[in-house]
Amino acid sequence: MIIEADGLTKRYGSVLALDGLTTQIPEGPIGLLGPNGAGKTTFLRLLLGLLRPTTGRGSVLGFDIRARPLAVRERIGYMPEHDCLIPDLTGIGLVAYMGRVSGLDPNVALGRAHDMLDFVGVGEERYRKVEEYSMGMKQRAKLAQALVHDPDLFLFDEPTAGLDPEGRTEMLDLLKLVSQMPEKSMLISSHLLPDVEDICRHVVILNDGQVIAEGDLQELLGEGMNTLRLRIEGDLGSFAEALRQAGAEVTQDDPFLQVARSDGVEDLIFRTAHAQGVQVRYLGVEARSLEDAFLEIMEGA
Amino acid sequence: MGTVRQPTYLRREEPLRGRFFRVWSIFASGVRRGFRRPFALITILLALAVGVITTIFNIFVGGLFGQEITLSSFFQTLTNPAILVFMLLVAAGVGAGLIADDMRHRSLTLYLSRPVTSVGYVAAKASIVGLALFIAVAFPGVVGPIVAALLGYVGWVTAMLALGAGLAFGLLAVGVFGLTVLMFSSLTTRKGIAAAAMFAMGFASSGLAFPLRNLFDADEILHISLYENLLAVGRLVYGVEQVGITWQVSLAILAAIMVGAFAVTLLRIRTVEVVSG
Repeated sequence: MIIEADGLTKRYGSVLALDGLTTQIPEGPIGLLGPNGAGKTTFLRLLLGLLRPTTGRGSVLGFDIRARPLAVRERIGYMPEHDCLIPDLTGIGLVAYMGRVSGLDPNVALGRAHDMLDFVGVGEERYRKVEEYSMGMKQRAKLAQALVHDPDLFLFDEPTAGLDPEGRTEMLDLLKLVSQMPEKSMLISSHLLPDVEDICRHVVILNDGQVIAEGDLQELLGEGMNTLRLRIEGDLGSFAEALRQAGAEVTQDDPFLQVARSDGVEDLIFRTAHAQGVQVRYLGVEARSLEDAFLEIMEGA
Repeated sequence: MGTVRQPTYLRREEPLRGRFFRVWSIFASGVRRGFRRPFALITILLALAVGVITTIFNIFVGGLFGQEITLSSFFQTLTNPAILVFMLLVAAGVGAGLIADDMRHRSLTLYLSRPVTSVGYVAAKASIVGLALFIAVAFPGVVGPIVAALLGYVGWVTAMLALGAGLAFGLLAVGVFGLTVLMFSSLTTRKGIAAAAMFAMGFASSGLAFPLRNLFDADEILHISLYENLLAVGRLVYGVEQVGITWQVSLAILAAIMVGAFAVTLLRIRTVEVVSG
């Protein structure tokens, strides 16, 4: 587990920001979701060791967040949502400087800054001041400074915020590359659920300072779905009618059919297909989008 | 024709260095960037020039004309109002933007999300302005006595006493001015406001002190003046007779200013939202 929280509570005066949050987050790309005020920001601050929990305990990469905040931050690369770059520095100057502040030897920091700016795709702009960078380049520079000291865990806060569609796609491609690196994990806090769905394997959903849902993304999307989705090669209308006559509950949604799940319905589909002389080209459990799942979970909360 | 590029992420092979190195990195970068700014550079050079000129006139020219050089001579040199005015200018020129700029650009996030504590960050910033301020007092307080001894104007015992007193007084002045300007810098996102507040504190306190002292006929009122408090402590370290106010109260006031300014700055840094939601 990269992150463990046991009864984490954070109170600001009379406001309870986190209410006994308990979770165990495995390695890999993780999505942190929740409406505004759910406690995501407070949770991230606690993980970075910038706040002390009122009660409860937590650890990141095995280090207690209360006792070893610097050890935690040595191993975390944080990419903030908001603009935060030092404007009078060049891209290479900024990333190398952040490497040194993380503890990299100056020569190593400079070398890695070059590598990371190449990696994120602003290598050719490295000698321009960051105040002259476009929004997309600034996002990439922020990503580069989070990567420069080669941390084990990345915290990305709304990494695609403010990007145009092309920039967003490119940023997501970079994040996917990072997520596929061995021994690296990332926690993405985002309101853009398609981004999370695209990258993450595991999600944690917060509401009112508590975890209201968490788990493997695919399981979460398929959970509670009682419909099969199938596509055939042949006459869709006659096949749907044949299935209905055989007792199945069928809805036509060209070019697919949706069939209510019941015992033996898969056998029924294949037997009917054989009898009708059509080929089943796709058969799978109907899945929701993360957005649908999120809304359902929030409604039930 | 464009090139096909496959992004490559390389792993770090060297271990990270420790806490002191990280603070040093902030200090070194701050000195490189801060001292390059025209206003900062001009004020530092002018402060240095004023220190050199004042020392030459008070010690060396005076010595040439047969004036006896004592500890008191070094005290008068170092506490020359011109030097303290230039220390205020240096504090404003170098220190006013040190935290205010980071606040304005929200760059504190970059520092505090790394393995750097808020105390380390403030210490690094204080060292940057401290170094600039020390340049203003280095010649009259530290170099001057050594040169005077080498040229035979004073004996080595007096020179070493003057050197010790110069270091003590210089560091006290650096601490007071440096921590105060950092506090003002942390309270605003505009360095102009921080600089103005620094000037107001330096000049207004002295400007008000004497009229009020005369109005109420009470020397204790001079304690509201930053300059007078520094003078009182300076008299103590240089062994010069006290006049007007007592050094004990002055030292307590200056210590309270430094501790208070450091505490306010630290508190302000800790309330900044590194992760904003």
